[in-house]
Amino acid sequence: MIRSWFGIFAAALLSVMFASSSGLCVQQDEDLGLIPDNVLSQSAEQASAAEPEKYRFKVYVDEAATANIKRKNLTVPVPSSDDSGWNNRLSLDVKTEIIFSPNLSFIMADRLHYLLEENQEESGGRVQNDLKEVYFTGNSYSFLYLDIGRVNFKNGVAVGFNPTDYFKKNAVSYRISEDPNLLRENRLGVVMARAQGIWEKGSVTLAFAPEINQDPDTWWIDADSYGLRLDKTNNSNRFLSKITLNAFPDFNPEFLCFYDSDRSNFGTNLTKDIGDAAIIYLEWSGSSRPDIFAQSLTEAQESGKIPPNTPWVIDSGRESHFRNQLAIGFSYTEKVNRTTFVEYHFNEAGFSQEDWDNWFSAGKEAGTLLQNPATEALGTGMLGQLWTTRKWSQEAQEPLSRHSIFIRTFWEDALVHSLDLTGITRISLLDGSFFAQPMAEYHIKKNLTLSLSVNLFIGSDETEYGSVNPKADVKAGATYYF
Amino acid sequence: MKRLLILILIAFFPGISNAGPAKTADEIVAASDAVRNPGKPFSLSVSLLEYKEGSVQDKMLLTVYSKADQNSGQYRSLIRFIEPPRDENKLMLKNGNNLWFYDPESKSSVRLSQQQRLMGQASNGDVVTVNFHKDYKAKMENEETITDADRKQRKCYKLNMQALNETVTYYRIEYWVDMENDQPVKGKFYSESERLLKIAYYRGYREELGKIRPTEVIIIDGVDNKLVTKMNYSHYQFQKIPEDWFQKEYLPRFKGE
Repeated sequence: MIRSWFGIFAAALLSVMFASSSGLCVQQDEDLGLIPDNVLSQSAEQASAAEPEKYRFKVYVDEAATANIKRKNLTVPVPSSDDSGWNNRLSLDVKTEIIFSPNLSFIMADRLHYLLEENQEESGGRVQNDLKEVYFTGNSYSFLYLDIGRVNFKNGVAVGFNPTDYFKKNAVSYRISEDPNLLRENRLGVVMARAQGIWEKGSVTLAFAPEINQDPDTWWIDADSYGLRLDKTNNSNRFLSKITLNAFPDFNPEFLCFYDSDRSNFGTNLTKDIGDAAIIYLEWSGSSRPDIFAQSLTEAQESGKIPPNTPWVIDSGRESHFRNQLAIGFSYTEKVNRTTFVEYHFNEAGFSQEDWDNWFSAGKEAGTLLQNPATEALGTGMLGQLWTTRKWSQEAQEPLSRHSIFIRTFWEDALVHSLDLTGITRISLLDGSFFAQPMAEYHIKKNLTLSLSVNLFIGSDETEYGSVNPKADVKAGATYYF
Repeated sequence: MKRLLILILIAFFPGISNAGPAKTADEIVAASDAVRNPGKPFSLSVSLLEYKEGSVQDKMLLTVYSKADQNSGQYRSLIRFIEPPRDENKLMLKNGNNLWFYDPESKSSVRLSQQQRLMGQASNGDVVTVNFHKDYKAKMENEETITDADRKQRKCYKLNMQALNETVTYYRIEYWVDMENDQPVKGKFYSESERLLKIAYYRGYREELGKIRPTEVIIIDGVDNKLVTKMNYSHYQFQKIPEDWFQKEYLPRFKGE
């Protein structure tokens, strides 16, 4: 403070001295006094020059300890419930890019988890390795790019649900958070060949992801510690084409066509700025497909998780017809450095209120069957089907309810410097139940971030979020960047 | 006698010391833009130190790649984050109102609003790489001698610049330009509601890419004036920057070579 006043005094004195020697108007520059002296004298650390690099290397360690609060009695019991009250995850994340020449690079991203849960202390926990990406990328004719290998290819402009992110299904091998941003950082790529042409007026992308031999005894399928889990990411032949048009200064529509087995999907991504502080966006995809019940149970029977001839607990029709998925919303930034995304999600293949009623009705019936040893196996089988559908929705990263709202608020440097606050909410518009996640991150040093988050699943017993375990969890974490 | 008359004129009307006819306010702004910005595509390294009441509270290193748009004359920029480590290799694209942020960890591109870009330290970059004369109508206020950030007296044109369109970040700018060499000395940047957003002092003039250019800018936050950011520019170099770079789809491809 003393220095500031000295600065003001010095600036004023200089101004007065020079005023008498000039015929010009002389301003006493009070603004200069706002600059502390050490700001002027301290030399700056210089960034390196923008030279071509030979490699890039990024490593960080992420630690997260979570405590769960369980619901005592679920309306629809989970057949193989997880009874652990806490778990711990320690992850090492490594990303490297080796640049052989301006036209050829090799990229590898890997995350190694050490996981420990309550009741597993004696076994010492388990290790899981996620080889997220490993691919070569080449460039020719300056505009043409070719990628071959396991590539994390993400599409879509929305935040909470991406109907056009066609390679998202089954890509999250370990669910580290309910925050869609964090889930994207922890997802497996898909083995594919991708070609992309980028011109001034737009781009064209073509990608082919082949089905890979699903033999469970192979190292690329192995779900144990170091398997590649290609059965998750490459279980069918898929083809994607995408066109992005830069025909307008600030409106660049994207059109996608995706072919998966015998099904074609069409999609689009649109964004537009509204004034200085808002962006509106729309992400849509449509395809001829069955509803979530039929799709999840068909796939479970095809993979052998459910015996092939087992009748379905809920059979709302197995036929496919054209169904839409939509995420439409806006972001708004306030002057306090807080940005909020509000989205409406529509999944025409998701549960209607009638579907929910059927789901709970069948679940209660199955719960009753569990009480009798003679019918216990039948009840367990029914519950297996019911929860298969819910798990499928989570792994496919599709909203389970037909109509929902998603809100994400990010407040950088909130209240104090280096403290970031994030709030996420998903609300079912069918029953009013919701998920909420407040999270605080404090950047204690430039390479160390501490975090604390709470997950809350709120709703009455027979609602989407009131019928799951846990009821809440609290997670404390630390991330250290090398 | 004639020589004495010229000296008297120069002493009292320093604005006519430059040979040729007096420059208009817009020409002064254009000349000042040329001091700050090389005429050809270029890259430079930027270090930002953010001070709160004189103590460093944040540090950031960036690399900026800029190229003027043939039609609008405005600079389009790709900003690559070098530090802090958690933000390493993240990218920000500014192409007119088309603003995108790319995170290589999540492979996500998120479109930003103008307001969102203004938040955080990186937003200060545009105080340097904006071509004012394309988007503002300048008016000569008067001639002033002001104290620059090195506590030296500079004889300046004081210009009042009004935005010509709604796409610009700052609605009005008060701008002081050295009468001798067109070097910007100081700027005060206002919102449409006449709220003072930033005060900038340009200093550290040295030769870069064939011209004497500012290599340090000190920015005082207009809302919280205890918040001061010092930006240092280094490693200026002309750079071949294809048009393809300034679009969302290119961001995952960007290597910066």
